[in-house]
Amino acid sequence: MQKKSRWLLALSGLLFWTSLMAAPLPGDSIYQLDLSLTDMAGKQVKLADFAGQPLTVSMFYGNCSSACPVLLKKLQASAKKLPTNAYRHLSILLVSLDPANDTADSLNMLIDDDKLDPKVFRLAVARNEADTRQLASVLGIKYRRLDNGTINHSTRIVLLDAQGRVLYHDDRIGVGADAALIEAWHTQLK
Amino acid sequence: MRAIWLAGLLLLASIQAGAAEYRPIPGGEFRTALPPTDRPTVSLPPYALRALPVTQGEFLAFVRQNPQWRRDRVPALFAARGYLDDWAGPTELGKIDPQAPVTRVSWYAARAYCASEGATLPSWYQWEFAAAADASRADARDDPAWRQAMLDWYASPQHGALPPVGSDRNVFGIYDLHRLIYEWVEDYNGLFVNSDSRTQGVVQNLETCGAAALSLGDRQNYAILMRIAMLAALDGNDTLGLVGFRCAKPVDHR
Repeated sequence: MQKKSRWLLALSGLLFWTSLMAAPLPGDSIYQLDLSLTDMAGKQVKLADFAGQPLTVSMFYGNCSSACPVLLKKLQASAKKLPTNAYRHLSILLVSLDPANDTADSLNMLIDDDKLDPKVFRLAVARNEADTRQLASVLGIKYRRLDNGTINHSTRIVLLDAQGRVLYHDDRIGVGADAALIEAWHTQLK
Repeated sequence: MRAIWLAGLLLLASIQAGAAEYRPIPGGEFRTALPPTDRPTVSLPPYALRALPVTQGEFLAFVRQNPQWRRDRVPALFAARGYLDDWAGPTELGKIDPQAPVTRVSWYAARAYCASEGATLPSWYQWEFAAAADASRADARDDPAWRQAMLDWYASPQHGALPPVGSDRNVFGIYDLHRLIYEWVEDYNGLFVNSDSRTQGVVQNLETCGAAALSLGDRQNYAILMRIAMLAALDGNDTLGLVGFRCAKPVDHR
């Protein structure tokens, strides 16, 4: 009898889970975008694979010497201010603006060099320029490549809910912890 | 037997008529309003550009074949409210001239259309290069009369329905680059200029992640600067009544 009820519980749990998976995405969900990425471990992921839990997204590139390190420092310093139970749920996806040059290896080096927590930070690169431009567009990130190899870009951080809707974004520059970002994370990860 | 031949020829002719015309554009060293370096020019490889903007009739055919781009089915992420809302129905033009340029289309919808022709949206430089020409010169931009003619369009408010495409042909055989609509470009979200181009030093470097700060060149060319300001202000899912598009392709190496 007890065994049977456990079975029923498991079954209803499974049904609940599949109904969540089958629920259509909201029209304004960023997961409407069909986008393939390669992460720092060389693993192929779809952007929509991140659906189901809150996600923080930004864009950067490996060979970037001014704004990108600042962006990473801001994310790290702000994340450190979170209490342990919120930090545990923090998930940050950083996608390269430079698909011609960034690879799993170069992304991995960045994780090491900047001492990014690999349990929080996922670095990834899209297949080509067109896919990269499309992701930047849905995130409201502007960028353009200059002749000398640098890429001018805005430093937007976007917080998504579990269904991929934008909860918060900011374009502020600063190396320290950002009070508004921390506040937004508290709300997002509640 | 002769009837079959005739039918075959007619079929061939109709396929020919259905394919959009792309014209070769030479490219080259080019003075641009958005220089990618400290130099005022950019080096542009040859390419092919669609002779005409995409028309309402062509976009209708695309939507009928790709129902995910119907106005009642497209996700809000890819097209804001207003998408094709001058049509009589999701797959009906109603009173709209099928030969008029399609407008009220988002960047995402424009890209999807171009992909259906095996093309992409042109880059800003590709659009700007072709649009520097007039009927007889590859670069007419230093002619004050040309500049004034361009500006007059921006100065006069557009009323009523847009006229059909195909009225203003330049030396490359490209029509309607000016004085009909604004056009999406692939890198519309790369056309930002600093809100205050006097911003100097650390702040500017940080905002743009690069030592080379972006500034506008060719400041006298107001008509082009209007285009840049317009495109830079758009989101990808915006659908405006005066924003349409054409497509570009790599040159044929046959």
